[in-house]
Amino acid sequence: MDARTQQELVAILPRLRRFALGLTRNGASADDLVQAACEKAIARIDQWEVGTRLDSWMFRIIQTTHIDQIRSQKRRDGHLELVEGQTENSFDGERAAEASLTLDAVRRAIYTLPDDQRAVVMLVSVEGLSYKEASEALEIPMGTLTSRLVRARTALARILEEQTGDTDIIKTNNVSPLERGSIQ
Amino acid sequence: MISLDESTLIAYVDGELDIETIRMVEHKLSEDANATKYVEHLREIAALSRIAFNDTLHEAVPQALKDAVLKAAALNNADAANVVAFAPRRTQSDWGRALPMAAAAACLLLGLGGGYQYSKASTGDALKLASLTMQQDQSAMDLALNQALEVKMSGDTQTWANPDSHRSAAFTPVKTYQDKSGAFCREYRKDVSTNNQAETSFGLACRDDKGTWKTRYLILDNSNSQNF
Repeated sequence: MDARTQQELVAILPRLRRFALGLTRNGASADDLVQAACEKAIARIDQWEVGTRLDSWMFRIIQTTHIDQIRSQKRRDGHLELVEGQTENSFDGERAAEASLTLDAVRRAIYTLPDDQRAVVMLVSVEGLSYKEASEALEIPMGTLTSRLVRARTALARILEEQTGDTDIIKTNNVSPLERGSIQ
Repeated sequence: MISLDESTLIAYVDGELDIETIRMVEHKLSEDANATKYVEHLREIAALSRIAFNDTLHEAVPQALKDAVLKAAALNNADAANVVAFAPRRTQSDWGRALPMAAAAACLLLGLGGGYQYSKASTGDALKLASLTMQQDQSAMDLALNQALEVKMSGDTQTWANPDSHRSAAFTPVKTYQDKSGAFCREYRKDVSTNNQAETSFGLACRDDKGTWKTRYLILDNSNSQNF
């Protein structure tokens, strides 16, 4: 790995950790995941096409490493079903009802999404990748990406619905009507 | 409930539609209060999602992780070259400490999600409209700048454009440091283009505890402006 690529890899570590946190939902696991993914990437750096985005390539490696980790975890736990399509819902509705629409509520809502949908949300909604970039990073067809995204976003909209019943968050933060109007 | 399907509205909020479709969607939205409300809800969530994980982005990368990565790189290079390599240590100059990000939600919320804005005024006083557009652009650019300072790494550019007013802007944080009181300050470069007239300026903004970046000074770079 040449010095410049190494420097770039270190520079994008904050974003890799953010993505990994979204996948693992746990800070310590996220750092383990980033480390495992970086070691993998460094070992097979010759597979990275120079000139393409290093971050997208790293997101892909993090995602596949994460899936591998979940699978081996499930094998250890005696569960053999795939993570794909899993729809566990650990969202604590009561707790959420107390909170206004805060970043914490949004994070927790995102954490309730199945793994495949969460990866898409992390890349498109959190990282701000375009649909095309995200589908390339995850190596999934555009149609798969958009359907996962639509399922995830409608689920989030549903979960966070009561909390945004009115637009308090906008009103209470000294934003003039003009500014508000400018995004509509 | 809504005449526009969800995937179209989501793509609209994500800025993934072409201009023609955007105009179509906006026309339909103007006649559909429910769909408009839903779009606002989606936008709100999109804006909050964008920054919901930023604590991680802004806190220092654990030294152990950085060391592990550099060590792996050094070992790999040593294998490749069959020589002993030294892992270069780099200090991360970007963001030092975790920031209380929750407070930043509000000001960012409005700058995200939309992408384009359109003046809804039909006919009438063209001057008034131009002035209103200008004011709207100014507010939108302020929000884009705030977003750039909040989420962009130094050297990365946040762009903004309003195709209707032929105005676009690019904001690039250049350098980050803390002032005496511990507040984060960033130097930035601002390039605004109006009808192909470019204007570059350099500013220094500091972050207040509400997450708003206040510009302390702004210097216009005359060497780059085109006054013919």
